[in-house]
Amino acid sequence: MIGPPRRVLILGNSHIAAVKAAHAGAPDRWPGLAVTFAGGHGDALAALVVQGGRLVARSEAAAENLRLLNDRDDWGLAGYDVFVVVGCQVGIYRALMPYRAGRFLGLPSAAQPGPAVPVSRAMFGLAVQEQVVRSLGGALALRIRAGIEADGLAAQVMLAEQPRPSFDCRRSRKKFAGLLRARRLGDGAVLTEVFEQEARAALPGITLLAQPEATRHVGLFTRPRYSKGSVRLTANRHIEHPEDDFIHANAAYGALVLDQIAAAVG
Amino acid sequence: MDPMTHPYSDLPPEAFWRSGVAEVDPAALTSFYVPKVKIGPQTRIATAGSCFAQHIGRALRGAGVAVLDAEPAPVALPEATARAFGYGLFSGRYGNIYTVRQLVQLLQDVQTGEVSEAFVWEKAGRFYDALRPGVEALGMDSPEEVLFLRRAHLAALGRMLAEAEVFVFTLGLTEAWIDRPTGRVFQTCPGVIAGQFDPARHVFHNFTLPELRADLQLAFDLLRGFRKRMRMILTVSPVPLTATASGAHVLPATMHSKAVLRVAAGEFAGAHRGVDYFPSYELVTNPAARGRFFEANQRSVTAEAVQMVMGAFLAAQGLAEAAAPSPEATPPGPGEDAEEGGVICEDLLLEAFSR
Repeated sequence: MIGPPRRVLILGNSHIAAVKAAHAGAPDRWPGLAVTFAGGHGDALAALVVQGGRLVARSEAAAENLRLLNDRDDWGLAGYDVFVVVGCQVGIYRALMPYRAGRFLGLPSAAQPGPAVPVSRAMFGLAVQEQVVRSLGGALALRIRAGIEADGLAAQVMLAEQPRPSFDCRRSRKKFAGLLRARRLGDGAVLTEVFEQEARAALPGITLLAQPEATRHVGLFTRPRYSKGSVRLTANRHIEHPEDDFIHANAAYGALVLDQIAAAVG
Repeated sequence: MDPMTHPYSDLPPEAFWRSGVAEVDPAALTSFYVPKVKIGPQTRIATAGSCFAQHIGRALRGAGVAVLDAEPAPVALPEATARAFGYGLFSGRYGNIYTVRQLVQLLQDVQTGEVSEAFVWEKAGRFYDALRPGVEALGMDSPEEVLFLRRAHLAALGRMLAEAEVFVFTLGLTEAWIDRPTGRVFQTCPGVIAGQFDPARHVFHNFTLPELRADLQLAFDLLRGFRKRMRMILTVSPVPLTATASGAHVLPATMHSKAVLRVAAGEFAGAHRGVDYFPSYELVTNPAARGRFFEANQRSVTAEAVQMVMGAFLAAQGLAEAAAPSPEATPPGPGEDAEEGGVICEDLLLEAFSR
């Protein structure tokens, strides 16, 4: 690494906790990155907008949540070289939403009977793009990208995909029925490919950091060892998710995301 | 016998041009339509036809009528995108059906379930259903995908037609392009949206009155094959031709086409108890309106006209109280060359070829 570390603002919802935990556990592992975290519970980041060259919360409730977690509620765009949105609903579920109702030729299940109706691959892709653009993370990344361009800045914007549910979600069949059905039908690999292709198309000027390959299981899931021991998003406390949380990833996963960011910074 | 009595002496005011048309607000005509085919909020209606027919489906839905939709948009898309993909325009995703022959062919396809790779068009590496090339705005990945979706389309229409009690069809054009080896009529001329025009294969045809009569009968018989007592409401689109390939000037070509369609529809309705004709064409082209029901391009029908026509239809059917139609007739933006007044019109693409 030559030159000063790149100033990176990592924004995210509960999924940012994995990255925070990884960074807190080994702060010197990424010497090229000077990281600041901006976490927000739930959809607090939906209220984050660019105003006068700063990211600010447009609702007091969101500002309060941001202050609680980050000790601040606004960030100047010019203060960072890289913005990374983590999780925030941009994940395989964006493809599963249209998948519930439509099947395109190319999916192994396309010819099988069921409630989903045939649709074109192109239209399915547009539906995925629509889901991505409307999602918390997609919309936030696009707002940041637009703010950077409006201010004539050269910062990079990245979006780190939300991790897929742990393969252990088989223990909660009802809650993850759609995902498990897609696996049973053999559609995981195609859905993954479609999601990533369409998410990139939906987010021009934004680098998509797809879920690290080593953490994936049959396209639709996260290997359980990257989920076990995941922690909640807090200001600075260490609180693990309950054992039946299959949604969040752990610090080992977060470390791989930081590796991706380090590799992707220009 | 009173020498002053004759067949005209006791006629009502609407029987005379002056009192029935010239001195009446063209947006407030009355007594011009007494429905033979009655519909109510529970009547299951299917709609099809030229782009003007899209207004009919929308107005009926707005009035709370049970307009069937065999193929609702299955995935979350913004409404405009869904419409660009042919969803929500008619009772099936067949796009505009401009000619009666096109309707006959579609109904026959639904009946047999047959699809053919001969009707797959290609453009820039994308593939299109030649019989409804406008419904997949981005084209499809392969000929197999075209056929996969066409099979599903035909199956969905079969289910819908078995339910339909009234089929509302708007006759739009007499001019069409025919595939000589197969006799199939296309929705648009090959080469306009996709495919390649081949003068040796693709021939122009202007349907005649006898052909229209025969096709209307065939279409009606086919419809009743899906549901025994299905009834029809026919209308004629007041929208002039975008372009004619007949060799004539577009004005007489339009008048010829509309006259033939009007006569065919009127005669057919007059000859069948289960078929009605609604005079939307006459309401819009009424000379007393002095052209006010057309936009500045003298072709697109105004929002006022759509509201007036559909309001009159709903009022005559006793459905006007249910809801007012919302025509959404906003002028098209620069990129909306195939969408006019909130309706999708493939034939507008022909305008791009005018010099």
